[in-house]
Amino acid sequence: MPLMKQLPRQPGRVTTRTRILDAALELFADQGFERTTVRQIAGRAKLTDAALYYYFPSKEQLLRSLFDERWRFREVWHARALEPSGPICPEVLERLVDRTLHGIEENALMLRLEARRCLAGDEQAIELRNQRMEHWRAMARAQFDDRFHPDEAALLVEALQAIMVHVGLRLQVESRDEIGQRIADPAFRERIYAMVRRAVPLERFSERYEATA
Amino acid sequence: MPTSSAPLPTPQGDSIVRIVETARRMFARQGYESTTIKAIAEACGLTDAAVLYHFKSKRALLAAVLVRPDLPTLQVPGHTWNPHAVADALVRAYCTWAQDADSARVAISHALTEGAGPPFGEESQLAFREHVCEILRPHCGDEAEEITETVVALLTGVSIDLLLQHGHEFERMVQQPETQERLRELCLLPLPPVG
Repeated sequence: MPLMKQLPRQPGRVTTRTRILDAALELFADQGFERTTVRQIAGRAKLTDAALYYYFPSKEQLLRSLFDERWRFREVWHARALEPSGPICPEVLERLVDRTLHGIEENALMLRLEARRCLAGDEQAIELRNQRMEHWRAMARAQFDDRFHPDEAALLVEALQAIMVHVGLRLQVESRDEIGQRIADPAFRERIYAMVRRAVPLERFSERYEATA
Repeated sequence: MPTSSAPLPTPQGDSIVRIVETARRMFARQGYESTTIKAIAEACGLTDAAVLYHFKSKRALLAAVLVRPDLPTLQVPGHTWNPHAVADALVRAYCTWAQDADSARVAISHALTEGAGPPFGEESQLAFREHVCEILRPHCGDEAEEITETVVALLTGVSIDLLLQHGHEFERMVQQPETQERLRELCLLPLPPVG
């Protein structure tokens, strides 16, 4: 695991370093990289500025360490985590939505930071986002490939992606620290499922494909 | 002739427009935090005092930037249900809006910091939504609202995706025929087929 390799040897430092990264992530995500000072991060991590500089020579270095070490989507969205599900059906779509919502919840701060940095033109953030989306699409595609023509599967996955990106940003903006409660609400999830059923009209496509197959 | 109430033709209205447009571009390209009133004034060829005369703070200027232009009206020909014509009209309206996404860039950054609520205001989007819904209602009945919500979510989702992935290239990407064709295909998905 990359996380383990990056940690310093002394166990005492593990917690300090982690505490600094946690503090930096919260501040960068909530108020932005530019607006956050090293002093604020040190304050939140209960350290002096000098102590913080011992671990991270610059604010920029802190940002890079976050991107290098806190990127956990591979595990969350790993294709294997979604059981082989047979032909795609509304239930499988709902599970895809749930899995995506959980990924958004578990990584809410990193996603907020990522969106900010992408808007600022940060190349590492854009690259990581592209990797993440590609990974997500591969996971989703695995559910569609057996039943649909590849072009149709790609279109349907793109539609699902657009809906989930929209939902993800709305959650970030409207629910912020209460994303967990919001996505646990069955009425909220039902609204998302309804949109997804319309944006990904399986029947229309599968019939067409089965007729030509 | 009675004098027009629109601010544009007067020299003062002119500089207000120039200040807002410059601020919009600078907030979008270099971030709200990193942009100073002084820098905006310089870019407009004005003094700080002149800018502050019109907008008493950077915050007030941000509020002016976030007032989004209304989304264009859809031009849907014919009275019979034609999902392709509706998708075409949606994409045309969308692409007109997307010629300049700086307001959207500023709005997203701002909303990530301060959450939903006024300046993020979605009045113009709400008007657009209502307009789409009116077009769909005669053909889709009770389902019109949900279909509208889905279409708007698709377009918003694609926009956010393209904005985050392509940054400043977004405007160029949206004007490409392949992107527009893809948008039409996506818009068609939630629209009921003919018959």
